[in-house]
Amino acid sequence: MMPVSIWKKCAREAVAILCLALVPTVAMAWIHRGESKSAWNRAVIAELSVGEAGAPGAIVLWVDARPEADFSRQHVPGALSLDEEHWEALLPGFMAAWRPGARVVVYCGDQQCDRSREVAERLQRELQIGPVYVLKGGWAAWLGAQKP
Amino acid sequence: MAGGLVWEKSDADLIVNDPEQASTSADFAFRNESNRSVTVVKVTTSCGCTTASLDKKTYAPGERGKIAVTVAIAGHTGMLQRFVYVATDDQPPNAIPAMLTVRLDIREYLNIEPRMVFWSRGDPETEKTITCTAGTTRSVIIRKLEADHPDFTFRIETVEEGRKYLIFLKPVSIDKAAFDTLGLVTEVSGVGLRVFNAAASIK
Repeated sequence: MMPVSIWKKCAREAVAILCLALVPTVAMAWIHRGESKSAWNRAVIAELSVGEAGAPGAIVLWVDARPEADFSRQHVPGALSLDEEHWEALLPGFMAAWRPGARVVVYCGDQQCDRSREVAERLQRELQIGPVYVLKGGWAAWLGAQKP
Repeated sequence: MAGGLVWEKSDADLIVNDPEQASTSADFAFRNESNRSVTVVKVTTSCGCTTASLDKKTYAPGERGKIAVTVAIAGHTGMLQRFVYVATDDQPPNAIPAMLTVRLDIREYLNIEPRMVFWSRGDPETEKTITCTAGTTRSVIIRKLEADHPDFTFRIETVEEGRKYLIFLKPVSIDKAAFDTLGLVTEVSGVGLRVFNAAASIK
């Protein structure tokens, strides 16, 4: 059996190690105070086909989320350009054009492209204007639907 | 798993506190736990904004490696996710490759909720509120509000300097359509002046 003095020495050293370990922990908590743990929670964005988006009687506000160069070449007639790279500059144009009851449909290049979903999520989140849709198949689907 | 490659983790959650930074990155470490060499034959990503790189392609049994994934931020904010697909030579050609996921929570300097307040013609001329909250650890001081048209009156209340403000807006007359962009000229600590846009509208 070890002498009591050895136990006391071990206990003191254990407390010292614990205190040392707490220093970086407290420092990090202080540095990151006010930050909340990210809660991964993406909004649900519904998709519409070309036919569904332009159903008779629907007032559609088309939003083109592609890069500016693609938009300049060709876009859905009447569409507004809105991409995240130029969000602050382009958002006022969207806000001026929006009307209550308008169906907002965002498109990008094709079904693989995620830009339209990200713009749709951001519009829903920031403007709180109700559901914003994504065009199924994107610009490629729109072009396909125009062929006779 | 990607065949004999076993991943320490297959997803990464990152918080980005500077929305103006060019990119962010995450490493995915793995170990070849098979008894033969494994070669990474193909690495693809879900977006041109995401790149993935390896130091080398072939890993001996027991050898460790990592894939470094870099995601361009480019003005994005909010929740994004990007995928990396890894195929190895010890899997059949038509096998589903391993999928690595990077989830980003890109914080805004200033959260503006909502960005637009609107009234319909004939609605009561009630005051509406836009709440502005600093979204990162940087303080955001609203220096002034700039509006183009006199169709709305507004006042700003400081709830907590540098962290939270309330903007109250009211139409001058509810009988005619109107639209005004509000420019919030802010000073973001460590970054400088930034202008955020909100809007008020009578439709």
